[in-house]
Amino acid sequence: MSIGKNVYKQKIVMLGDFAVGKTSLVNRYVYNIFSEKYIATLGVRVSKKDVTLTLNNKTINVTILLWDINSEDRFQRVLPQYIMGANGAVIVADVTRPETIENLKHHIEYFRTYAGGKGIVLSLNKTDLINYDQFGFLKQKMERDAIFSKMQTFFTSAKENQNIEDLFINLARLSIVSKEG
Amino acid sequence: MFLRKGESMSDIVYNAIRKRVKVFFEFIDSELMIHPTQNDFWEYLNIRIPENPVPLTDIIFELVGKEIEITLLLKGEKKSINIPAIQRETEKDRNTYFDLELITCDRSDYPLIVIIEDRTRIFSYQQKLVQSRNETKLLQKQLAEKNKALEKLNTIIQRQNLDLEKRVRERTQELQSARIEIIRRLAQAAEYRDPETGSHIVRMSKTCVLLAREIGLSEKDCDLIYHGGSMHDLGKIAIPDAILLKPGPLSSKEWQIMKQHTIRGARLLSDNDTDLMITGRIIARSHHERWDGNGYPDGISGENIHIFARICALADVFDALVSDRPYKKAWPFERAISTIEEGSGTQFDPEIVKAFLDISDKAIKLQQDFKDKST
Repeated sequence: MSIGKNVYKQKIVMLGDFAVGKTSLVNRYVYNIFSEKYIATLGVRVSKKDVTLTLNNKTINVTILLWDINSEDRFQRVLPQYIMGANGAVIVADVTRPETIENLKHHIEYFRTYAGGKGIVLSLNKTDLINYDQFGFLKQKMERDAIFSKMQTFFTSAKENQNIEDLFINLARLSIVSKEG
Repeated sequence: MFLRKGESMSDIVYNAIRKRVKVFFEFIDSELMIHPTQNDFWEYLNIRIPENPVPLTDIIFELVGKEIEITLLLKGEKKSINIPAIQRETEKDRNTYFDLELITCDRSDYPLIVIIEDRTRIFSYQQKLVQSRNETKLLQKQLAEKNKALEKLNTIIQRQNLDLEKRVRERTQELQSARIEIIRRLAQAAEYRDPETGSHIVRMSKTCVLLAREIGLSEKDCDLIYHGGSMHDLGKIAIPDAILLKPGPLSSKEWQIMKQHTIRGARLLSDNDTDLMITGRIIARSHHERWDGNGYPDGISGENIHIFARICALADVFDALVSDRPYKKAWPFERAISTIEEGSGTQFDPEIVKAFLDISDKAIKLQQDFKDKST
């Protein structure tokens, strides 16, 4: 929803398995805080961040609304109401838990079902917990995968504030381009 | 319950219901502006009540992205818009959960109503359950991974242990072989000083093993008696040539010295408590003891004499009887065997004599296989 000239409100949803660090990414980006303590998200928590982007030589003010959503499992479902109307998604996995990387595909499909072909970026989070070799192996794996290789992937660490700004700014840019396109 | 001035019964009922379910609402005009009228709605969201109408999505930003649905709602093509379980930090470190509903209203000035239903209590409880369940799952995964890592480590350690055990076994075997070799050469040295004995040590040791097996001793004991038996006359090293090599009969004094070879041999093998050295000591000291107690050096009898020494005593005598000596010719096997049999219960342990009779064919063959070169 546009509010005034060159001002956008972008709804971005955070998806991914439980405890992959969705809330930590939002907290780091919006409030610049990080806590080691895990607190499960129930329902949805929306956080706002105002940013200024330059796109095609135009300055755009964007209010990013980050929807931090509970993870889906057999007890909790991610409700379609949360996804519908989203301009983009950050789909998050924990690099120390291989199954969360495999499950990225499920979350991508779910998002596309309810939000259409909007912008998606992948966040492989908690890179502070792996070594250089593991990082290299993971990077190769993502590059070789038919689905993941077509997406923007960011190796992030909410703890060490690595690649967080890039992750959200790139998605905001992508979502505006896809909206205007 | 008392009625206050100006309050109707329906007001009381309405307020009571409202308090129990904690539902808050505000009216919205066709421009999607909230016109603040309900204080408790703003108090619930911890927002200072505005003086002028404010855009709906500025306050309820959870409705951003729902523009098409709101249009459908206004056209009457949709009944309501629901967003359940919204979490907000309405005060510092205090989370509030509510369900949001946008419905149509039949007022022309306010076509929509936004309703907030407080669900903090139930969702806070549910959050704790989800938290606990997720933490358990994480812990289970971590434990499974740790177990996997431990199993891997265990396999490596087991492999290393096997390797180490193998190396220790090899080294022990080497040491044992070296020790046996030294003992064998020491025994040989004693043998060289007593030319009468010839291959006596080899034959006697092998006869000992035949007997030990026959009476049911373990293979380990058989091995000990084989090597320990070779040391039985080690003490002869300490006996002067004049006595040891004397061609004629020994005087009483000389005989006393000669008997000392048992004690001297045991002493040579003292101060070491490996099984082999203990065996050597026992045999060297007691192989001249007799079942009836008339032997030397201690004069012990029966089962007080160690089984190894009882076996060696018989094997030693048998070999002496069937071998040439400067003072006698070798006896025929039959005669020697019958002499051994006669010594049962006096000189020798009857059980060992019985065993000897059972293996006598093997003992004779052994004598033939390892006959002294001089004979």
